[in-house]
Amino acid sequence: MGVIIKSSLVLALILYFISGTLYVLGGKKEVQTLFLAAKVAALGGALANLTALVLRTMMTGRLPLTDGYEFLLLFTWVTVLLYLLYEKLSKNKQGGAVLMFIAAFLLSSIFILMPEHHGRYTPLMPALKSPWLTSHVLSAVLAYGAFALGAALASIQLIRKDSVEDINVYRAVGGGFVMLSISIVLGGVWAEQAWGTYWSWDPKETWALITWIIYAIYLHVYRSKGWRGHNANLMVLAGFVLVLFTFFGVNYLLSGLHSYG
Amino acid sequence: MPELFHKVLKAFSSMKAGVLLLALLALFSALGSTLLPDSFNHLILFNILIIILFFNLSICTFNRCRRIKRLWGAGTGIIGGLRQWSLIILHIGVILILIGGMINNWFGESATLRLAEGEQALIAQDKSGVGVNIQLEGFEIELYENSMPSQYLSHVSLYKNSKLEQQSTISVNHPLRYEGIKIYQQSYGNLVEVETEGQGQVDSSTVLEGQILEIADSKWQVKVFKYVPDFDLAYGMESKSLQPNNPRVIYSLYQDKVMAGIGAAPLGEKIEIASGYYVEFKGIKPYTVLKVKEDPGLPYAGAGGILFMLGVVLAELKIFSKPGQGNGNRKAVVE
Ligand code: HEM
Repeated sequence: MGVIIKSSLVLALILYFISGTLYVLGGKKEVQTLFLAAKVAALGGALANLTALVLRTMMTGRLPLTDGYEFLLLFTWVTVLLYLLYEKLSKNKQGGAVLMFIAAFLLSSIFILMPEHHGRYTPLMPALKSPWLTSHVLSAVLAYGAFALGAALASIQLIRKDSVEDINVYRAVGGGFVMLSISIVLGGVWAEQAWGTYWSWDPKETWALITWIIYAIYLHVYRSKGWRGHNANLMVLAGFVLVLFTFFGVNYLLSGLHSYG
Repeated sequence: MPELFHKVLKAFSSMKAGVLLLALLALFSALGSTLLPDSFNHLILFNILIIILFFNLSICTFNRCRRIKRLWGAGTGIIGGLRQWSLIILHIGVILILIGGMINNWFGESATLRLAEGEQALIAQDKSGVGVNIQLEGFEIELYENSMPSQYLSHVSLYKNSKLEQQSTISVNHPLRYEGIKIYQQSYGNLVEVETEGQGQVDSSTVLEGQILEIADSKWQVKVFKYVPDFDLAYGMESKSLQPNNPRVIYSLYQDKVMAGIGAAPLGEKIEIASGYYVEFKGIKPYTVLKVKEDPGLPYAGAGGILFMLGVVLAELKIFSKPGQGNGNRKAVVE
């Protein structure tokens, strides 16, 4: 099973790359057929990504929400899916040029950080056996996906030096912010059940809070002071860098309760 | 100076101040978690910052409550009203979470208990001196097929005034609740029963892993390093599994504090250190580690968490409405 999962992921990675490249080319010349091809590649990549997720679920017999490997698989997939949804709703197509590369980066990190993990899994350790954990991780994945979309759109605006997409950046961040808030509270409920402390300032919690604060500030200044365009975009990018640090940096550099062991 | 006071208060409770405080909190947390990961949250400065944030947030939420009443009177419509209300719910949620945390800091209590089977410990005492004791009836590790741990279970009884109150099982993710107290499965370990003998003098003791024993009438010492239930040379000091397939105690010997040897002894085997000097590991007594906690702030934090989630969801609902209808999303529409 591990081999098939790995192959699906290689395929997904290649398709995400191709898709990103086509979006870049399409954006340069505003060629609709290129955009269409890019979208097809993205859909194909998402399908291969989904295949890996389904196979993983069949292999482990539980939802793919329990370790860093599964989180990355889901994170990437949700990111691409949210983008495709955005493209369908907004009819804008430039964001894909950045987003698909973010997706490719996320997926490739699996091959760099956990190359042996495709067919491997361990039964859940006692602390991880909780419905609160499942909902906590699920909301975190949705939040991260939305922030990735926000960051992709913000980058495009920074590159193009415009702000026509501000409202959509704001929506992505707002939606992600809701999910991150829910995720943090549910994480607290879980920690209270498992360890008897809902907040212990461990590195993961601390960095999730920092991420949350950056986006809260963005939302505050966006609405009240009318911070739009350049500065707002920079903040959304900074927020996403923090998201990545909260995941990679804390899991692989710092350690704490959340390191999956 | 009421006017100055008013001005300061106004500046302090402004959104600008709130945003600045949040930014400071983020900066502090970032520095703290990298430089002092284990203790930055105890720094006075850090706590003062949170308290200031708490007051800023409380005052500005109070002001918003007053303003919303006026807006309500002016007829902002049900949707505008919904957004305003959800923002208040959300901010009150954060305030309650902070209150819950502060109550826990000041009045909460937490202790760690180490109990071997049959042992008791006091967990609570009411004003009239009636005590509640917890007794460990048994500790159990459930294993998966591949012998990794799947659950740790402490079977316990609670005694009030020496009368049995209730029996239950505490496991990871399933704490025991008893009158405002919660008891958690935190960890476990093994006590080692040791008998040492020096020139005919026999000493029995029960020790924690890592402890050092003196052997009577000699310069010998034995360090009870670790109990390994499933010893296998290929795994070194690690146990091959949690099943007691080949139980050994890893120990080291010292003469005059100089390491003189190391070994992995089976249980119940008398080991001769030197002529007339022996050590024997007679048995293992598992113990559980429980965390006993009382957090009077938890209901506040819990209610805050619920209000906060509810408020955030309601407050952001509107951003998904069509552009143009949003309040202030597109300035052009308003002007
Ligand atoms: C101190 C003064 C504060 C004021 C006057 C204030 C005011 C506001 C306002 C007006 C909004 C809605 C934005 C809009 O629709 O225009 C808002 C949203 C929000 N506030 Fe505050 N706030 C303050 C402090 C805080 C603090 C300290 C926190 C968190 C610890 C916080 C958390 C939030 C969150 C999570 C939102 C939702 C995000 C959004 O939609 O903007 N606020 N606040």
